Amino acid sequence: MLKDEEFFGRVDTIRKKMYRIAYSYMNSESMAIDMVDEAVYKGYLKKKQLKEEAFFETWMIRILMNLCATQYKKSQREVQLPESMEWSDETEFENLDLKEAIAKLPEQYRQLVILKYFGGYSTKEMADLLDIPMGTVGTRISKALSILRVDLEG
Amino acid sequence: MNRDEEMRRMLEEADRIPESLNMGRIVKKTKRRKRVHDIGIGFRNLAIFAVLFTAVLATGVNTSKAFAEAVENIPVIGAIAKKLDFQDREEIKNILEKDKGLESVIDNYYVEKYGEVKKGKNSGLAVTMEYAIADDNNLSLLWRIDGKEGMVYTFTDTYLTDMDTNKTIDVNYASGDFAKAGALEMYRIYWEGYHENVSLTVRLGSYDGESEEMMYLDYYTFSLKGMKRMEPKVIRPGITFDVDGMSYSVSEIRMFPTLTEIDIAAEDAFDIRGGSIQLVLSDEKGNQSQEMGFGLVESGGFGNGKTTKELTSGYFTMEGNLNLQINEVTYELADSERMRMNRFTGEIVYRGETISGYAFEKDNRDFEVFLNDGEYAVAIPGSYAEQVNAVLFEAGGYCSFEDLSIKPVTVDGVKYSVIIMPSWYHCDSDLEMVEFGKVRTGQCAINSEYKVDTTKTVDYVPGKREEITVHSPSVSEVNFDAGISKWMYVDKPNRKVESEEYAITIKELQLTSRRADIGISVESKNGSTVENAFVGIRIVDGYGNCASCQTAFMEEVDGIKWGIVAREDDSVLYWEKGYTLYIDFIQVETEDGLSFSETVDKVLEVPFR
Repeated sequence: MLKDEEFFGRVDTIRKKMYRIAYSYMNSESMAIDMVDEAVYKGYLKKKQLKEEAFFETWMIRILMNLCATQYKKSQREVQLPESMEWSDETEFENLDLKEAIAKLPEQYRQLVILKYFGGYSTKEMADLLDIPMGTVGTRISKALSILRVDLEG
Repeated sequence: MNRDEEMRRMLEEADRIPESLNMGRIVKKTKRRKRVHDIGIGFRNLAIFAVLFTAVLATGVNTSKAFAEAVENIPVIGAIAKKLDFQDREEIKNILEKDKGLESVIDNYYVEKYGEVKKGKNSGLAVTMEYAIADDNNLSLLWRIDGKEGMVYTFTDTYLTDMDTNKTIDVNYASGDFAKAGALEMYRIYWEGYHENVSLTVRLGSYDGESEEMMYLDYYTFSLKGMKRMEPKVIRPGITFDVDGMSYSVSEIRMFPTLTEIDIAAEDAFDIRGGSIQLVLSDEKGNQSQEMGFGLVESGGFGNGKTTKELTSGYFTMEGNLNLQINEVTYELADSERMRMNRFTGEIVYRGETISGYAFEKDNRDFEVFLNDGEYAVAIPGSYAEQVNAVLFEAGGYCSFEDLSIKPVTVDGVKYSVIIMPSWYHCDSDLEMVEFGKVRTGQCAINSEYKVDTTKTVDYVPGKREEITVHSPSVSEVNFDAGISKWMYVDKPNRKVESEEYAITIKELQLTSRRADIGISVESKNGSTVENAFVGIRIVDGYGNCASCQTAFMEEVDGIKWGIVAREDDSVLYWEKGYTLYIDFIQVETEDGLSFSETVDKVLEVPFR
């Protein structure tokens, strides 16, 4: 099991990445810090459960993503936004700011956009993080970008 | 602006890492929450059976001058507190300015005065580290700042290094009040065990009352060398009290200079799964020491053992007779159905115990027991006492004197070897407590001027046991006055709510005045095994009070996943008019991976039946 020093040392190495991911989810500095704090706390509580220390980052990011997704959903409810949206018509995204457009993406696309562009994760890493096949990651990223009409591959 | 440009700007925004994302703050906050969590974990997965009452236990702590003089080299409760009253900053200032009383008192009691002054490079503000008081639990720092009028200051980050090993010392938690310019303020650092030589780095923060802005200023480093390890004063009052058929005991109080630990046990072995107890320790001057954290009890601890509460004052900050008040006890049983508890009223008067004693040695030599101002001395004629290392007391089992000193004294021309039995003396924690009179502090007191009140001498006749009736002045009475009627409900609605992919059954709700434990089962409609569930839950009582609208992390016990939503403030929930439960969404982890945030488009309203 990770000792306290090791745990916080590892957190230190990924905290900026965690913040970027949280910020891109929440679009708020204070909320992003809250999410990072919460994720570190949850991780600290459950660190005994981490069997392979090599997966620390994956594990922490996954906790963070879960928290952000949950909080995001909650905040949507609080401002009475639609819980989910039908996005069959991609053109409706065109008039939105990119930030809003990402926020309105269905969760399975939004998380990949955030992981890729704000977390800097590779397709393989994202597949590991989300427990989905690499092919699915590629498909979803491609679909997400086409919805957003952004061309940042590379 | 095109999409690519927008994306780049978003990335730049996300790259502006705020200052507060520093590891010092994260570590401190995380450990603090963990500490609270550890205390509060006992509430999980419990059927709830709540009783609220108020009990006042008066535990007299002798602070008389006579006793103080009888104890050599031991700081005595109250002696310092008379000079050092943290509740009254002005008084401290006067002492410091006029007669240097604080310094002399503290010096007498082995608290190091440092008086080290450091100036901030940027702010130019001088911080003086006046004193450091170290014990096994915490390091209390008395500091002052040469600041500006109208501003208040505090430390925001704390780093400790052991100067002997050059290793970082884990700081569990650190806190202090805001300090005004020139005022002496205490900053408390909780650590795991004492260190003698410490390098301390703190960051100064200033708060402007007008603009309500917090500024983060310079880091200051101090070298605290040669700190004395302040020992606790141990009091074993042996107070036992019953409430509604349940027995509790206050078995031991360990009072450190600025912190007090109190051991409380639930004596009944039946199936209590958890509970809470709230304590306030106050002194004659009205200084109060309240517990830290949420006042909850560790998992299982209350049912089959003891729990330790930490209060935020000690013998440097309390004075005179102490009063331990138990404000609230909640205990929780397994398998309780919905219950309504009657208001508990009543009074239990605690009286002294009756004990008898006899010599333990096989020769059964005579000895005498003297009572002096509530203190008992075992006096053994001649030099025989030097051979005696134990006395058996009927009520308390075997008491070892190995650690106690023996003093020869002459009373009325007769020489005695006297072992003064500190009245807190506790023979064996597994045996019944012995109550010898006034609750005492710390260690065995030997006083060559000890005067025996011969009128209270009990002559012991070998072969017989004589009873010594002790009307203990230490625990005079225990009063219970509920004053408040509280409710507890356990409801098993067994309602099923279905989302697109999952079927959720609300199995059980356990509702107390502060929180709701909600047990659900989750089934996947496609046959996947549900491993974890994160559920957005809100529950609102019949008066519209919401038990913390938050996501509950569910943990599985006996096939049911439990989540908790709780009030985070001091307000109370009332369930007698029923409740409304909202399952906002559910996020499920199955063997196939995570299913993110599926909406459950249902609201479950359950008027109480």
